[in-house]
Amino acid sequence: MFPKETALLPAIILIPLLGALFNGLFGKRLGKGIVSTVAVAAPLIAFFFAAALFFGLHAADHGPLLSQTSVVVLKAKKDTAGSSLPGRLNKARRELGKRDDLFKIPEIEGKDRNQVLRLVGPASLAGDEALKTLAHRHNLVVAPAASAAPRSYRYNLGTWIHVGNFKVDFEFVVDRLSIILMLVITGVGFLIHLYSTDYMGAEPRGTYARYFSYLNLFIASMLVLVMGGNLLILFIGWEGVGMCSYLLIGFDYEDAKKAACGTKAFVVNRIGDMGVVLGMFCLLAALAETTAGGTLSLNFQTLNLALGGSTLNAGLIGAGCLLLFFGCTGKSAQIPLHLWLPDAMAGPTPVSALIHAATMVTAGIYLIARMSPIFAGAEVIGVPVLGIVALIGGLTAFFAGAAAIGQDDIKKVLAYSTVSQLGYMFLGVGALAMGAAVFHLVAHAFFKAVLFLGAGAVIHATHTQSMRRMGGLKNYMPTTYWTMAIGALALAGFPLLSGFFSKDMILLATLLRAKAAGAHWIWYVLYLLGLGTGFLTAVYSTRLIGMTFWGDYRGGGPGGRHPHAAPSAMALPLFVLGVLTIGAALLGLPALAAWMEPGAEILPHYLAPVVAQASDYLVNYPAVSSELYHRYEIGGLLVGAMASLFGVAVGWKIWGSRAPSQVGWESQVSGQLASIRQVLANAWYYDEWVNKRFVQPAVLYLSALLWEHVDDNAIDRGLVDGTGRVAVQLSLFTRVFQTGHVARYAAYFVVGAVVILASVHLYSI
Amino acid sequence: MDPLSPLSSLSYDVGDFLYVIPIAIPALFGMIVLILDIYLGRGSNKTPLALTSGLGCLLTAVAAWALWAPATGAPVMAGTLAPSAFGAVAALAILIGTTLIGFSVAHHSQSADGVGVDLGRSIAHGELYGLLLFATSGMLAMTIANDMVTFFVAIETLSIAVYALTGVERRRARSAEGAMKYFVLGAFSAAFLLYGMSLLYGATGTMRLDVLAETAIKPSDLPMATVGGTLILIGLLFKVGAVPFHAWVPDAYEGAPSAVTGFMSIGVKVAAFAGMFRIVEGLGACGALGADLAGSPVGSWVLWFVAALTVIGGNAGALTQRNPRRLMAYSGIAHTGYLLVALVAFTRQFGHSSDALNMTYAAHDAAAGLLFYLLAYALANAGVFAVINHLERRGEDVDSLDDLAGLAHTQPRSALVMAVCLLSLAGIPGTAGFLGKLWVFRAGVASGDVGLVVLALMASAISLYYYLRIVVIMYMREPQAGTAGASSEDPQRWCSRLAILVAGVLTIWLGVYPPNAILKLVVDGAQALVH
Repeated sequence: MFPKETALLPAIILIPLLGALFNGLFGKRLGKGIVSTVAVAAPLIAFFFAAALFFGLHAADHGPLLSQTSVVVLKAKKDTAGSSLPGRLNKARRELGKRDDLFKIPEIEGKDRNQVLRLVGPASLAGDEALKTLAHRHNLVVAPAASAAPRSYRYNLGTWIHVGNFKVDFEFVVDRLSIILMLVITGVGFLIHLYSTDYMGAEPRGTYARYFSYLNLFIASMLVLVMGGNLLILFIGWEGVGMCSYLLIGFDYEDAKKAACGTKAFVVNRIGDMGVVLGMFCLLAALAETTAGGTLSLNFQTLNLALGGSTLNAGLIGAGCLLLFFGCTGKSAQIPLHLWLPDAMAGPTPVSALIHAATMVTAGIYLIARMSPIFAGAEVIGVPVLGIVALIGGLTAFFAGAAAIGQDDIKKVLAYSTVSQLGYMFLGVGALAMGAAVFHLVAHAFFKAVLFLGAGAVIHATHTQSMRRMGGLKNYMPTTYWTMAIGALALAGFPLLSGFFSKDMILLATLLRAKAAGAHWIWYVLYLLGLGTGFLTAVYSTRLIGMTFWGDYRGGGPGGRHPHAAPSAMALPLFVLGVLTIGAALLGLPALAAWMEPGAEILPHYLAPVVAQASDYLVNYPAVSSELYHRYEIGGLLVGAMASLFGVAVGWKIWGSRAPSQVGWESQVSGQLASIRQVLANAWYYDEWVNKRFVQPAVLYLSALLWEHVDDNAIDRGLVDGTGRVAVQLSLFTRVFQTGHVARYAAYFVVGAVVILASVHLYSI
Repeated sequence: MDPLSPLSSLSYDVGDFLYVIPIAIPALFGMIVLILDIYLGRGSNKTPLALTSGLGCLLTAVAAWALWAPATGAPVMAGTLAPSAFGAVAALAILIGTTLIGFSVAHHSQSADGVGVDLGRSIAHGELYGLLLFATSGMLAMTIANDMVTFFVAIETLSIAVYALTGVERRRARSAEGAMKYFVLGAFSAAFLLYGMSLLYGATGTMRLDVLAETAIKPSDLPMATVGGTLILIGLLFKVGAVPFHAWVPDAYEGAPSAVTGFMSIGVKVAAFAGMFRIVEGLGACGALGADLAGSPVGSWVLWFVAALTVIGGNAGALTQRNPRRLMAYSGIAHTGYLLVALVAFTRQFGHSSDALNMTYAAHDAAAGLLFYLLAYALANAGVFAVINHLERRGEDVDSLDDLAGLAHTQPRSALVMAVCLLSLAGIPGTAGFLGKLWVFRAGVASGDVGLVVLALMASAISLYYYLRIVVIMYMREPQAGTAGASSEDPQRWCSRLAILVAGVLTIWLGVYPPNAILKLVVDGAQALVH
């Protein structure tokens, strides 16, 4: 269907992969110039390819209708009565069971229930003679149905796993959802690669090559994650980015503390990944019952069509979605597994910008958006899974946002801020505003990258991460100051910047969800939590800028060097991302005018054909009329702006307007304020609690049992050494027979012959 | 004409002589080599002998491929021979051994400096090549023999030549000792074989395997036939070195010069297994493998136990060996065990199990697996012994694994081929040995002998230890002064280097992308055996 461009799909993944291989294998022996050229070129080329695909999709949308799959329904002929229709449909379905190019879905809900059989198959399906004959035999007709598949590029490398009726293809799909993430990954990725060439410039050659090799590998893995056409391919990328994250957090592996941070991230992510695997099994089991003997696959399209809104295996689907979301809390650092992300700041700052802010941590949002039809209908003991998602998101957003206020380490502030913003995204996802969540994802990728890269420049210049030893940097590094200020304002949701609109869109969705008929009151709480988080965000954003850039420089000490401005390779990405931060607002300008359809914002509208719940607020919440929608939109914007401005003002009052010498006042406060500060600085003591309740007992008992008894004694000493010992004893035993005396050898021969003849005689003669 | 009438057994076409050509060429070249050696004179460079025998082997291989491969396995030469693709593949494996081993010792008569020659240590004279070629002739005859008398003559032709070869290093006591032991026990086993054959003849009235396969033995004669069949089986199990008839193997392998050990480990085993499968086909079809026991003849259960004992005994024995030849002896026993798994799978077709069709498939798989395995085994063993021969010089025997220390530093190419061949013997993917094992074990699973296959798999996991230990010694130890591993590559020894290269390349080639012609030949061979 897309003859030429499909070749770009594997190429986009292959190029960063080859870059990683090249630098990993030869980088040590080559100069830094070659290493950085290769490393920077890889995401740039991938970005151009992704752009080509984007325009290709765009052209396809406006060209003749092209679709690789078609959907038809089998329904009753007009002149026949529908009494035995379900039975006839069932018979037809059973007969079609022999064809594995078809996917059969009964209509489960709605007026068509038991009236039609929906078939998904190749494009020629509508004209398929065999199908027509079959339908005719059962007094049915074949009718075309609305295409279930929005246009997409599809590249199938071939069957990967085929066991029984379970079949997984090695397939890649690029549609509107993945293309947006691909552009972010390669685009922001390229800028961060460029930035890194200077940031890591002082490293020795081997380390330098290793760094870029990992970074390119990350880009490749992340692309696999968003381009994978089924859950299993996604999981390859999911694990790949986890591994790269681990390698890069513990990049400075000679520092035991940093290596431990990497391990922590890895272990926590592993706990979440278990959820993904189990979730996959649940969905597969649900699919197996739904399709009743047909081909099983983990293809997203198949899963969404078959399980979306299905009430057949509600328990399995609900459990599966909840487990998948548990995996998302690991990868996207949500309560209860958020604790690894602040520690992930041990990695080099560009890594934090790329992996732990812009791309990898958003994988959870992508996963839920990708499978939104299933998530939308999933329930666990009567509680909608998306409600749980929103609740977790809202709580994470609030508590992490508060914790960010207590941090002195500039990267920790940004880390908690990232956790908090990801919470926003999950709140949006949970409120069925997938488009809003993706919009916030994109905007956040820009402004958080700019903040991290700016922080990197600051750290590079001052050789410290503590904001107490900064201050007054406005005069030394103006470019960094201005770009970071824009980023911080966007983060704070300052009116007319991208963060303002994206946050507003999420809050609006939450409010509408609360207004929907039969909605739980908790949605109002979530809305208020979101609003409160907006205020907190504004406070810590201002504090960040204030402590870093305003006042006098407190670092250096006697004879200390003055901080230097960022070099050009670091300044350029800052500048570009600053512009993008402002420009991203255009992607989601609210539909304010009365003539605009609700959900007509650019990005959600763009995603609507792919992500079922991207923008159709009215469909989701029929209680809200279009007029009411506009009123909420305007009101929400005003309230959001007020929260943000109020927060900035508070921040300005506390950290901006004081005399420079007084900036250290935080450590001198006493009484209740001090204890609050302690709680926030320790992020609600969650780490300590987990450590005491889970990690230490696990180390004490479980690990002692598994390591000392099971592994050391049973496996190592028993099985491994034991096997060896038995084999060696056996060997020494065989040597006993090898005396060298021919007569004895002949005796063995005779004994053997006699035994054989005797046994043959015994059983045979 | 009635094939069973006395007259028919004496009639043959002149055209049938074509099929004898591959057997005749090695014998002819053996004589040429002996004469050539007289002309070369004492102490001269004996490379021409190696080249001549190599040429003979090449011609034989071409002849075997051209003449045997298209044949269907129908008896020719008055029913004494049954040429087929089965024999052609076995012949290729045997010729790989003869050629590569012959090439790898081409320089043994030269001293390191090319001046003086110690005749006592020198083995690469005319007798060596002559005996190699005569033995090869007997082996080739064994792979297509259709008559038990022919079979016995072939087996003795090769045996006597190999007894002599074992003692070819006549001034070394171990060599003579090994030859004597091998001879005594070999004669012992020949008696079993012969007695078994005569009993079987008494019961069936025929010596021809194809006739035997179609003979319905009278119930009263069945005990005699079964005893005869069992005795033949025992004689052959001795030849392939199966436990408990294996005791001669380590001593003979250690006593013989490395060149001869390499040849023995390849040629004798390949010929014995090829002959064994052909004879067992006849025995099984006429019921001489014993009555049914749980769906298969008793003989296949006997083989089951022998196979289990052999994989355990061979691998266990190899674990603690320090002498490379002794280690390879036990390794050879272990490989006998794996091939006996194929033989067990092969014999399952003769029972009256309910799953007859699948058992025929398994038998087909077993025969094809055997042939591919023999090729892989021949290449890998040839590579290992070619390297050992290449390293051995006057006074520098490779008698201990420590002599190989640091070989990777001094002679990286030899060490690499050695490592590849050892990995192939261990059955690591990417080498021919892996595909061979896979094929053979698949046959075992298909025939329902999962337990035996699991045992063999576990045993071959143990085998990794002793194979990899050699790789570790070669790659991770420093060379020790005065050992073979410490001497650097000698550019003059191009013959042995060529042999090493060929063994390494073919092992990888067959393991990664086996050519279709070979696979087709292997499958045709199995087809010719299992109808």
